[in-house]
Amino acid sequence: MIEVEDLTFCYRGGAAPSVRDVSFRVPKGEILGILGPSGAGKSTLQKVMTKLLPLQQGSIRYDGVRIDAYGRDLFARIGVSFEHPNLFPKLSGRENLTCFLGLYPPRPPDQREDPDALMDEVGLGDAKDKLAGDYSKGMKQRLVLLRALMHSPDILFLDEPLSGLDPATGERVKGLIDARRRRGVTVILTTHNMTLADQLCDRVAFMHEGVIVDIDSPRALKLRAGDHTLRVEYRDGGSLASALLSPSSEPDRARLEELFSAGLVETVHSQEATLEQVFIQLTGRALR
Amino acid sequence: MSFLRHLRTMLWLDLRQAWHGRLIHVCLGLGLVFGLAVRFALPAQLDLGDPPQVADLTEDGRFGTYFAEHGLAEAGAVHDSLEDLEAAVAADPDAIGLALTGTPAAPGATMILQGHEPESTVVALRSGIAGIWAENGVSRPRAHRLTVLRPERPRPPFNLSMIPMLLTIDVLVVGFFFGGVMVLQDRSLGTVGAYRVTPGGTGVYLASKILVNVILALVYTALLLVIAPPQAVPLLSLIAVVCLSSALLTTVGIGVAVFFRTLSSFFYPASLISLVLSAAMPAYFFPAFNTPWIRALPTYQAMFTLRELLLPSGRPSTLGEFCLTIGAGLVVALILTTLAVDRRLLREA
Repeated sequence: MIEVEDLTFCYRGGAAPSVRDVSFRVPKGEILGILGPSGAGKSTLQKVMTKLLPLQQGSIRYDGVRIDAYGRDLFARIGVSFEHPNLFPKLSGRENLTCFLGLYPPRPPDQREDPDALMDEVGLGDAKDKLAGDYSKGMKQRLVLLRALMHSPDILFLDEPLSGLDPATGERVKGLIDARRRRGVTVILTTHNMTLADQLCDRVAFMHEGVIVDIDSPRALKLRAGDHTLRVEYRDGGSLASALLSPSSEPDRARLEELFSAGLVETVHSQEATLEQVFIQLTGRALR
Repeated sequence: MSFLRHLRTMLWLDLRQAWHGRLIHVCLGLGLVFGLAVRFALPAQLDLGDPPQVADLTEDGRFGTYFAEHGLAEAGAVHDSLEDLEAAVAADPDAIGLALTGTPAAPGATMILQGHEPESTVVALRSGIAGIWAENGVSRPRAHRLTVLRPERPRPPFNLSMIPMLLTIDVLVVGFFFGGVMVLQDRSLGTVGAYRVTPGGTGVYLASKILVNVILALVYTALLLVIAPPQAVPLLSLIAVVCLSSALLTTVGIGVAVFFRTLSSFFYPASLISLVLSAAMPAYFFPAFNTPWIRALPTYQAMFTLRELLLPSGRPSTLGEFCLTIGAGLVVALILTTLAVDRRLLREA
């Protein structure tokens, strides 16, 4: 369980706090997506949670233990993946995965990750012995993600894990993250990718100007904040016409009944708001 | 135990990085080139210039044999008249001329100079003239007496005398520059960011880099001394001096490098610091060039301690004093660099 309470962080010389009074809880085995535009405070929040920035105000607890009670042993519990690949270019892909392993406490054999199997899983099986410097951006991105998994952490911090990946590879990576969640790994995922957040996250926190403006499951957010409409296709003379009708609007409901009574309706699709639309509705600005 | 396990991991990684970054190649190359230069290219005796042009214009021509014995006639430097002598000196802008005239009762000499010679040369020449007359029968010798403090320890050959300085240069280059380069390489690749989120701490990071450079300095030293053996190799003392000097300068190099983001921005301040550290080198050839601040430089202390170890002159050993001074400096540098690495490299600003 991760518990963040009243977290505030201000950079030295900063006019306003980059993160303000942020509070949330993440139960074990949940994927929490943190969404927001650039400068919203997502990275700062993640850096404070990973001890890369000092805790100034508020508290962070991992399984009830305050973050300041941890030394560097915290990093044995967490895995951090970066948006910008920071690999050793003259080491092979496999060596990049294993080079830091000696810094972690030894794990029993049944809890150890197999670098070869992991690389196979995300489509890097043929490039295990290739120098990381010769990898494409997408390959490097996958390798950085795998490195964060190698020491079997309890908590994963992922920053734009699908950046630069084609859709098929993206699916594999999503599968990999989901498999860790099923094993009880808690995932904090920072992203701009609405589809990823929608498909993978149990809950999503919208950040804007250092504040979490809303946090809930993607479905609940869309239902609560979005404008639900029905897309109705109907026969209009000899051709097919369509209309967006809101069930909450009296005239639209009347129009819908009229179309049904006349037997003109061909198809009806419910139309939910997207997370992007929800965010715009909450903050008045787009995510990017 | 975990510190040692972490150190082993980082040491292996840093050695690989040093290999891929060609740092080891540079180190081995320097050792090889300098070793071969000492062994085969540098002369054992240093000839600092052409002999003076001379003329024996004394009434009894008493210096003919003397000039022949000193190889001056063979070198074509003996002339029969003052005119010939002046012409020879005028033909060579670096030449000086000396004509000996008169009799033992009334000795005389004429010096012919270009005009740019320092006063010390004129004084030395005057003493030389007096010495020559004294050796050739003048009853009232005016030459300075020569006293050798340790006649049982002959002056080492010139080529071997270069070894302490070449070892010091290596410690300076390998330690100071390579230490900084390794840190900035980590920074430019972003791998220091990856290291930040591992359980390995500042101590391991720093110790590993220092160890790599100490190993490189020892390899270089071994290579140089195998190719060009000095007069003595007191192994333990030599290892102590090389390790301490290399560790100190690597620590300083890392401590400076963490304040810069790129290799190019590190280059200029690093060059300036290297220039200051190199100020010890002239003192090796011109002993007068040893002001108190130069004597305080670690390079000065390392160079002269190494000289006494490898080319013993019989002076009292300064090894203990060196180890204490450099050891204290290393402790201070380690404390400051650890703080700097922790604040500026292993944490976000």
